[in-house]
Amino acid sequence: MIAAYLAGARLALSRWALISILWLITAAFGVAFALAGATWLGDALDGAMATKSLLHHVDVQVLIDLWAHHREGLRMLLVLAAVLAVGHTVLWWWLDGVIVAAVLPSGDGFWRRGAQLAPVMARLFGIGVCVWLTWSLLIGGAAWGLMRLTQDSFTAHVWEWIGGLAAALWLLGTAWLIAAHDQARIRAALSGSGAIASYRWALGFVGFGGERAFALALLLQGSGLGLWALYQAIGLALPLTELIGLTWSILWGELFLWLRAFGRVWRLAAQRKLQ
Amino acid sequence: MIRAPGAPALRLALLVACLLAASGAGATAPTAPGLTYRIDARLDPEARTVTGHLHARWVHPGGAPVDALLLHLYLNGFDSNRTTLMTELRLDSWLERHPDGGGRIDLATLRVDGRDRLAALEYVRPDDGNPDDRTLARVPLPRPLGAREAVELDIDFVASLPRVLLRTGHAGPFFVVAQWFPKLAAFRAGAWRAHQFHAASEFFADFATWDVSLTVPAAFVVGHTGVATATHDNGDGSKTIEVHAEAVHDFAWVADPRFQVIDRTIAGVPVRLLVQPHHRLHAARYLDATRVALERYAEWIEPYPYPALTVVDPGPGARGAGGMEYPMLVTVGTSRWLPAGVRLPEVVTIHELGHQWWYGIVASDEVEEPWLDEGINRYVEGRIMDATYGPGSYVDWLGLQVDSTALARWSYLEDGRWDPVTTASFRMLDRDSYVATAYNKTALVLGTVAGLFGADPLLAALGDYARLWRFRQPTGADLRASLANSLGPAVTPVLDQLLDGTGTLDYAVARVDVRRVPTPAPRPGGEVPPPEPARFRSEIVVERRGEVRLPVEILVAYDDGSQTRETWDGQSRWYRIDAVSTRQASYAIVDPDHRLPLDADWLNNSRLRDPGTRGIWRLAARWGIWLQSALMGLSGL
Repeated sequence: MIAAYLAGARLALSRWALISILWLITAAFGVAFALAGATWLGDALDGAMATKSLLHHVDVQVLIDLWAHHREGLRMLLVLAAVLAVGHTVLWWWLDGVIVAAVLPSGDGFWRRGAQLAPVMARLFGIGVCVWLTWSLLIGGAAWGLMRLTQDSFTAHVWEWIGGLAAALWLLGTAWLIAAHDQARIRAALSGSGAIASYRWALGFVGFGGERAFALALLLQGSGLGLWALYQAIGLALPLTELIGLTWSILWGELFLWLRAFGRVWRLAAQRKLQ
Repeated sequence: MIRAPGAPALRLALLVACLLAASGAGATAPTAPGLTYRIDARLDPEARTVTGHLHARWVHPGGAPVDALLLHLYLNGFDSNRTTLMTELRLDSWLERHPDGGGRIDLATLRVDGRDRLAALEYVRPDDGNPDDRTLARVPLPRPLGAREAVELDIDFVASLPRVLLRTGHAGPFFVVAQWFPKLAAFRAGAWRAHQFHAASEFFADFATWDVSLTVPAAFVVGHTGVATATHDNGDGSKTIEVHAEAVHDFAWVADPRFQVIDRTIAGVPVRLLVQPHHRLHAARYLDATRVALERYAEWIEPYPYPALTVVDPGPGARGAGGMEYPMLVTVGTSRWLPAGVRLPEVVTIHELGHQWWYGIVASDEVEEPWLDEGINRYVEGRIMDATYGPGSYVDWLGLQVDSTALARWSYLEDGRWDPVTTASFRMLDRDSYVATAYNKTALVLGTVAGLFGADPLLAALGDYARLWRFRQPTGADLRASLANSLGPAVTPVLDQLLDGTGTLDYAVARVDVRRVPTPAPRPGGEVPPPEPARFRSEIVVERRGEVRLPVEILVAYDDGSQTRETWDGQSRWYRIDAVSTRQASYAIVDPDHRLPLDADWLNNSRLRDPGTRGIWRLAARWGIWLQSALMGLSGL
């Protein structure tokens, strides 16, 4: 497991150019949204002092007035975010194929191979989302039912216990499903089998502890979480806007997103070693 | 220090406090001879009932004879899903879902001056004519009662407590027993003044003297209005607590065997905190907030006048009982996981303790004029919070800072446009409008008055009002007169505009333009004018977009770093500043110090000649990165 973990990191590093392209593609969506946001903000603020003061301090009064007097524009921004999310998801059916192809032993021609894998990646995404939604509804429904059952309870913290337990279970299940989804993607690319067959195989592989697949997935996802914690800790420790300025603040955020793209390739590269 | 209930030191402290109160040596609360209550009550925790006998004596204070008494029977508001209370709460199925949820009060006997009048009792519905509402009852007198004559009332009653939904009831072994006995309505200006029990209103009654005996299972810890004068062990597993209270207009009590008792003397007041074991970690927050409130009120308004104060942390499942005021007793609330920067226990404690003055001592009508207690209280609470905890006084967490003005503006801008401040609580559009208007708009109105007349003078004026009307029942007109007396007559038109209508206050900077003043063209054949330094005409136009007209300050900043300030009376729709000089205007701000917090839109209060973009890009870039991050998560699913 550790060998796969480390080998995955090495392979991902060697694919830095691919990672940079993946990051750029996602960044284009972020920039599009930021442009729309800036246009709306410019309109709403209409030359107010906040156009400057927001650089140093996000005053809650500004947010209150934006919400109270300009919420229609804000809603339109949310609609745009939803449209961008749909476009991004569709694009990533192809890019998922590209990543999987890039971490296979015969990793050449992964852009073309990714396009060939896009349909099965799309189907796998659909299956994965359906299974994950089912799991979420199951956990959410159970928690809601338990809360209804205990609504007459006068024991302290009973709802907190139910909520905490449900959240922990949901997180664990989600991590497990992500592991299965990743293994299904790799399986589909390696064997050429269909989405349902690959997903079924992956459920069994992760479910029955094949090659410690779930443990490796947890380690990889934990590493991502650790990376995020480290990023946040540094970000909080450095008063970026005062010391380094807006440009560096944005670059700092994008560095994190590059690292997330790296983590994505690392995850699939490491898990590929198990098949 | 946490002590068991009934510890000797506590009993001694309460006894001393009671003796002081009785002798008048240390108490400032007057007695109220016109109305006395004697109630013997027994709590049955299994049946969730309080069985009691009430003896009341009322002296007609003066005026025309009265032919009936009016009684509040507010527990009947929980009797069915068709009462006025439940209808306004929109809880059609709540009683179906909670079989133990209902509450009511049954009168077994009712005698007036010894004569049975139970059959003569009739329910009245002055507010909405709802035939299913039995929260207000009229008892015809055997004979008209003349001025200065007394009448005696004896009632045996059984109060079935509802599951805690709103302010009163049971939640497991926790009992908050409020609005639990037949209470005489307030008598003002020669007439009874009373309303049915509504969702968005609280209470109003006359000051009285009370002697109440409370019998509960011995294991229960009890908190109450008034001071305990004796506790008896009845030898049958129960105990009886004798309580005396003066100069209060209601009596409420709580009981729970789980309470942990913390006694402290804070700002000279014996304070008893009854805290749930799972909230013990937050006891220090409650006590510190109590100290802050008692000290600030003593400094700004007047010292707490009663000989005891009880602060109650409701039990699990009793959230609806939290955040409520009764004379000498308040209920608060918290959550174990609440971070220190989210100051919910502090604000609830300070707000409810504030009601000891605005409702308790200055006993205005909470039903007809809720702004007099909730609004003033909300304003003073905000001043205390801001002065004590600084920026981010309400929330200071994860970089988000919310102070009293931000919170009040949020509520006002969402729901405060429907009703004038002076509207009766149950006449407002809904509960959201009630909260936004009675609490938050009033606080912003007072904040605006503070901006125009000075914050310290306003606090002093509120102190004058409190001292003038202590242990009396002022109206809105009395408050206006008191403020005019303290702040000057100029405050009256300001209050009239802000309190009596729904017009908005909104000033905006409409234009900041700079043009170069042309150099004089040489006349044909004339001399060429000597060169002179470039001069600019800076034109600033300020606009009044709302209906409210108040004087407002305008700041103009110039490119050489200089600033000018001038005041516009706000009477016309717009106001222009034309300045010709060698400097150019950079920006203008109307109401630069936010002296008019009621202004509906603070964004349009300023305008830059050359708007910045860096602030916009900082926020927009952050949103872009958030979206990117979310999309990465979605695709990685």
